Amino acid sequence: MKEKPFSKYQILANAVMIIWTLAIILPFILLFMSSITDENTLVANGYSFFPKKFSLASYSYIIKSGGQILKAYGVSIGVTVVGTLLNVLLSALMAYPLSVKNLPGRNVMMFFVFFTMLFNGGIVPSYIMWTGTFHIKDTIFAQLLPNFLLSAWNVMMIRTYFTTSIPDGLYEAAEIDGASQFTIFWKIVLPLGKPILVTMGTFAGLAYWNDWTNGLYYIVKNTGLYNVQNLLNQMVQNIQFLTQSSNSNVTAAASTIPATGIQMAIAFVAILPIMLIFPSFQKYYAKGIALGAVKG
Amino acid sequence: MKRKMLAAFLAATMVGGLLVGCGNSGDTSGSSKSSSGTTSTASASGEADASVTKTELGEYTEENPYHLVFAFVEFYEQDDAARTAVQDALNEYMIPKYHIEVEFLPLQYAEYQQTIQLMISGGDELDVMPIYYSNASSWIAMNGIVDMNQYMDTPEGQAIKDVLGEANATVGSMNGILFGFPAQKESVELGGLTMRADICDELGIAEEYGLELNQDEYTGKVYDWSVATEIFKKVKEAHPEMTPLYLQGSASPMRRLAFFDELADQFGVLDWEADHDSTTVVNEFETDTYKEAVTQLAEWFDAGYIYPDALTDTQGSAVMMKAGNTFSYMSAIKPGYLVEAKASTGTDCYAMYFGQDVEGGYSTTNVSFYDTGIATNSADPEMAFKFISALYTDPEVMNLWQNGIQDVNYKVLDDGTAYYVDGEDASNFKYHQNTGWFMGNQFNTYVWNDGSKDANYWDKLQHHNDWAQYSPAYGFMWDSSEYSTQITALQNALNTYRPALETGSVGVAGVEETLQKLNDALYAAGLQTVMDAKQEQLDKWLDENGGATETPQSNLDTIAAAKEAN
Amino acid sequence: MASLKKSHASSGSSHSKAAKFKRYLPLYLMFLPGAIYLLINNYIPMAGIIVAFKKYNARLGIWKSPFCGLANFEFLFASSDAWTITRNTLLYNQAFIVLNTVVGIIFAIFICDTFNKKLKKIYQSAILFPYLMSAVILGYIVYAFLSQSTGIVNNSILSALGKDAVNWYAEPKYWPFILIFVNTWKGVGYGCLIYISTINGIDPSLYEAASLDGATKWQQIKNITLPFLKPTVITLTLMSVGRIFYSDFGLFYQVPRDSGLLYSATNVIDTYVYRGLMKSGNVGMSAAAGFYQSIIGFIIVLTANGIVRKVSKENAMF
Repeated sequence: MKEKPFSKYQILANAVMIIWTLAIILPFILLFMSSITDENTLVANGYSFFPKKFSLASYSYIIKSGGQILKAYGVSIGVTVVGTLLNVLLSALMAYPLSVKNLPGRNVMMFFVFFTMLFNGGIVPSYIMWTGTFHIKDTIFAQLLPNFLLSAWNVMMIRTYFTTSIPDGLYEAAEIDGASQFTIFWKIVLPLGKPILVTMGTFAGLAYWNDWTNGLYYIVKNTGLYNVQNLLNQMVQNIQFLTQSSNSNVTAAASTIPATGIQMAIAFVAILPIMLIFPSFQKYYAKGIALGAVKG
Repeated sequence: MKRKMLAAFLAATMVGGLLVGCGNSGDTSGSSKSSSGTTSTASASGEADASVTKTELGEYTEENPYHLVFAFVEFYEQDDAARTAVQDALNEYMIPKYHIEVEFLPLQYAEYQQTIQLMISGGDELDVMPIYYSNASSWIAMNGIVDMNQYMDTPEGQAIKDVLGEANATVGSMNGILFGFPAQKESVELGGLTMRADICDELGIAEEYGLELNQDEYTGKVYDWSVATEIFKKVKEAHPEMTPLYLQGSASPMRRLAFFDELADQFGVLDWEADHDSTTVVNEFETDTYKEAVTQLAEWFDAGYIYPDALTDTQGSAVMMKAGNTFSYMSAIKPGYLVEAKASTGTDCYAMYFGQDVEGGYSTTNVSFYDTGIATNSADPEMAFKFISALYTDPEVMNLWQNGIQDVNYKVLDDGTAYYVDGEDASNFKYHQNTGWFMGNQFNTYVWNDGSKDANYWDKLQHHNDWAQYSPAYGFMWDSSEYSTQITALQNALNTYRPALETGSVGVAGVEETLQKLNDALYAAGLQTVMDAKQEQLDKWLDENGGATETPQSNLDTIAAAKEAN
Repeated sequence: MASLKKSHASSGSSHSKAAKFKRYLPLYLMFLPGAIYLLINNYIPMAGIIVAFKKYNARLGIWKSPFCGLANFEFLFASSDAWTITRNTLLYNQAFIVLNTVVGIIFAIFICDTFNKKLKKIYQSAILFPYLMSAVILGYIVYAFLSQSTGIVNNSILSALGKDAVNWYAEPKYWPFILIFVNTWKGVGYGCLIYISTINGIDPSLYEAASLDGATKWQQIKNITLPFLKPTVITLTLMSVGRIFYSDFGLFYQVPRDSGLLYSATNVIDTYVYRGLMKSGNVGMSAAAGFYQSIIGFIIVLTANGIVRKVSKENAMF
């Protein structure tokens, strides 16, 4: 850990990561450039980093036809924040007992969690249950509850982290000091587990943010509850129909839509908030509380 | 340990079982009624007292109307408030007259099939719904669609027959189950090339073939595709930077080159082009008709006339035309088509009919592509049927649903056509469905004045169908539900080679080999089994139908006259 | 089993059952909320698996629909494609698991060791960004590079090198590489971030002690970092193995733009099922496909877990 900035290893590591970072950033730049390229130039000349003619038509179309878009952002942000917090809390609560090696029945509990990763009954029974028993259809709970509140995958990853990174002795020491299991959880497990909780929370948040299936299945009448993905998907599909249909019943509206560029613009609109927010999360990835602090 | 795990698992699934089981038994009791209702004499007696509508399942009055959920597809974004206002206006009309209170359920095109399938499974409130023809067989198999034969002898059923004609009213039948009624539209398979007007003028093409703006009505004048080769050649020489013909792999151009009665899925067809009267199911991809067509495409591809990325392109003809480097694309053509083409491509276009015959093909698939039917969820399918009947027979209902409220969403012009109210147009309207070609009877709505159409436009559209030469199997619909295994494999085999063949991408040198591969793959996937079954169903249907379906004499006369004139 | 017995002994037989229960009760209570959610969200609908063996009737519902034996499974094995799709699914998933693990660990170590804080932040953000891109958009981006007439590779790179243009979407031989690259591009960030957080959990004093002892960078990685990552790698791999018959539908459908000529290299179980059933939407057959994918994964993962348990007991999942 104590190297000089320009050791051979540092140069190698940075060279590899810079190349990879470029390989990631360049397609995103291409995506952005396509979204501000004039539609006809885009279709005729293809995607280019240096388009011959620029146009903001795609963005103005989104703003014009997506009057709902602010509301949809509201739904997306609200659901993502609440969902992520609940997800992290539930996952951590579930992962901690699984990491306690002596816990009787731990294997059965592990199996109980793991099994859900492999088998599922498909959308039809889920739909019947969520709409028939829980009546979440066309409510905000439709965006929040099905599928994303807890993922077995996340629980397993957090549990693995707890087992490897939190020394066994710590629990026993705390127990001897008379701390209850809940105290241990709050005071030791959560702070020490911060790196993994932030990481898995990020993935849980992304899963909520990127999801369009819940809206598709469970939001039918009350489209005011669409999230950004639902709204943008709907926009893309309408445009595709209007401009690609070999069915000749199209109105004049179609000729003014920048069909190709708009998909790029829409993709950009959907990921931009995350791209802006994510880097500011970085500080939480750094070490949680130094282990020594807890020990002492 | 293992036993413990098993016990935990079993306990969990049993709890699950109980809950799901309960939910479902509730549904079944509610819907078993719908399948038992067979006669509808009740409605006839109900006519006596107009203030009450009686069915086998209930009595409905103005104070206590039947609540009906009407699912349809919205292709254009509508204003929510405007839609609610239209729904209220519709109910103001519906409730006193039909004792039905309609609830709109607008769905998106891309997802409506899945949404409806889930709603059927979940037993949600749903009465009238759109049915895409390829879903019909599996939705019937899962008992999701009400057989409407039981209502056909009622006055409402008779009214639908009067509007659609006997043959079209029953075309949405499968194995004796009447699952849906087709939309009223032009269905005959006629089409050709849509070409950029400026280039045609420049190269003398317009002059040579007498092309004019807005000349899209079919008169029996049809060109052989070899003429197109000449046109493409001229364009390529004068404008090497331009693609003479745009095609895309996902949209087959076959219907433009040769007509087959696809018998729903292309796995076993009638080679209509070779013999209009044949009722022998053959493998489309072994016919000379198909081979000639794909060879023609391959020749064009080799000559550089076809868009090089045709195989995987998804941008669509309108977008490509608009971008300015595409000369033409293939499409169906009908009266009023060129105005729509201009709207979508942003440029003036000429249309030219191409094909091997003066007459156009006409098959079950053409007509019953989109149908309107009743979900088995319906609490009272008889009431749902009355509503469907109104969609076909009551202009007020259709106009309200399609165009909205008069003088709020549209205005009627002096010539009897309709247009947006002042201050609204195609870019900012609040309510204008424009989906009469998808569900119901658009001939009952006002003609939309887009600049080229007049009030008798619907007549023109209806007369377009006079050029139809019916497939002998018209009215027959193949039920593939027992052959899902083969169909899955066949679909994959077809997807492997079809786009390459039908965009010409294989080149002339590759046609023979690719066809061979395709046919090998199809037979390996069980094509023969499917074709045999299809033939058997078709023969049985022919028996029941009293022989092949005949083309109406008036159509034959129109066609014969045009042939003579040529 | 053995571990439980041992722990039983070590926790002391002097503890009465009641005391033990009291000691562990809070832990079971913590487990409970998540368990209830899994029960509702996952286990109850799991009853729907039975549809795979039934001729589904919407009005009779899942329970009362008549059984049809294994008829719904036939389509998975009936055609000659069965071998291709199984082979493709397995080989791609193996390549993905290995590459995502190896590359993920290398990147994680590089990122954690990066001296410059700003660069570190940039790498760490960038590696996650591809996760945000939907498969459809990814398909467009790949097309931007590989399109026949306007693609960047054909027009800018190959032409500059004086080579002939390649019709990428008609040549299956390139696609294993393209798909593996695209998958790594998109997916490596997931494991990488988890490895980073695990490395961040390592006590820094371990490294300090090692470098005082004169251990080289490589020795530190080999003796400290990798052993610490092992449990995470095993858990991630075991979980991926359980889903080895599933595949990322978007990657295999959208990225090759559903080009038929590429099917020999791009058709996997999920795309095969989708193409076959999208027109009819058969409920029983899609349930059958899902069950088939799950049960094979289940068997493989039980075997793999058994092997792990033999080799290093503490890392087995159960």
